[in-house]
Amino acid sequence: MGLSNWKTQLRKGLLDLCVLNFLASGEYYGYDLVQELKKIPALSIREGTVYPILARLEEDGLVISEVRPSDAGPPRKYFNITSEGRRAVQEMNEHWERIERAVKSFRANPPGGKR
Amino acid sequence: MNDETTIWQKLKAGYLRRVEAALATVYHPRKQEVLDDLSRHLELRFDELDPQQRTAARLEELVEEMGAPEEYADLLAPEGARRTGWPIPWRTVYRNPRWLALPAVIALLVVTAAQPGLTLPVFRALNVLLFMGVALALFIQYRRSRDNGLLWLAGALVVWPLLLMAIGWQSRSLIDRVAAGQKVWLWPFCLAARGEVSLGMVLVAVAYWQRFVTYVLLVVGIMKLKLSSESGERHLEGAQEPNA
Repeated sequence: MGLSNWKTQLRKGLLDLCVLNFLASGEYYGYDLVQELKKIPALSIREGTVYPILARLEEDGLVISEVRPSDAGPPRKYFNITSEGRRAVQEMNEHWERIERAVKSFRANPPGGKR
Repeated sequence: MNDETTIWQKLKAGYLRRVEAALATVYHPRKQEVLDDLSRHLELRFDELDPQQRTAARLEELVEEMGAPEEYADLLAPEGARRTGWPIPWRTVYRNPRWLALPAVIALLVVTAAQPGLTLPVFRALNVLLFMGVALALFIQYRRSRDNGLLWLAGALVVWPLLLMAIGWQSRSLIDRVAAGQKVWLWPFCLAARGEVSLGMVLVAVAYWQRFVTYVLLVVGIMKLKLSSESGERHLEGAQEPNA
């Protein structure tokens, strides 16, 4: 597996986590959410790629959406996290922290390595 | 409609078509929703541009910023939930009753095997049904993906068999003429009429020739198929990661 592929896979896995965490903090419409995610350079998110993620999360019952008319421009689709989504993101955050701690500890003390 | 708006509409439609093609092999109930969301997002991006910023180059850039269409398939339906082939996910069967046609065909085959008297007319009807099914499936997939490989497959599986049917009718009358000892001008039946080769050999040669054309069309079709999921993976491996 190439380094680029590894980064892509890691990034894809983390996108769900980031999207759900943003939605846990409040309601967003797609465009707004993209702008927030773009502030995390490591995710290197492209403008459109958030929509298939949101569609999948909505199909899984973690997110709900509603299209509302807008005074400025075309109608906007607002996304909210569901209670199931909140439970999922909490579990995901805990899992992420466990992994992060384990990797940090592993890297600091590699098995069989010189200390 | 001014020039910029026309250019924009073309760019937007082109991008959405590319995304639709990239998602052609994905079964997801919210596929159309993704396309609608993208369309809405693009409209929003266009609206927020000042009229003087709406140059062709900037509009192209705007579309590029949306990301590679190939990436959508993986994000919408990661490993397991995609592809049109087997195994068909139960959810898909439930939501698309047309998949029930397959067990129905298998059941019919079992019934006709148990009652040999029914076999001939039922198989004739099944052949027509399956032929129409193949033609319809190819048409639907082509409309979704605009994949030229499907046109070649349609040549092999739909157009060529229809031509063969017409050729078959003509051949039957030629065989009757040869058998009756009458003159035939059309090659290779004229060889049999002159007694240079047997009628059986002519029929075998014609059958091989017909099969040869079918295989050529199939091979070209398969080679030309875009196999979008594979190209998507290649894209993800090669491109991306501006920060890398």
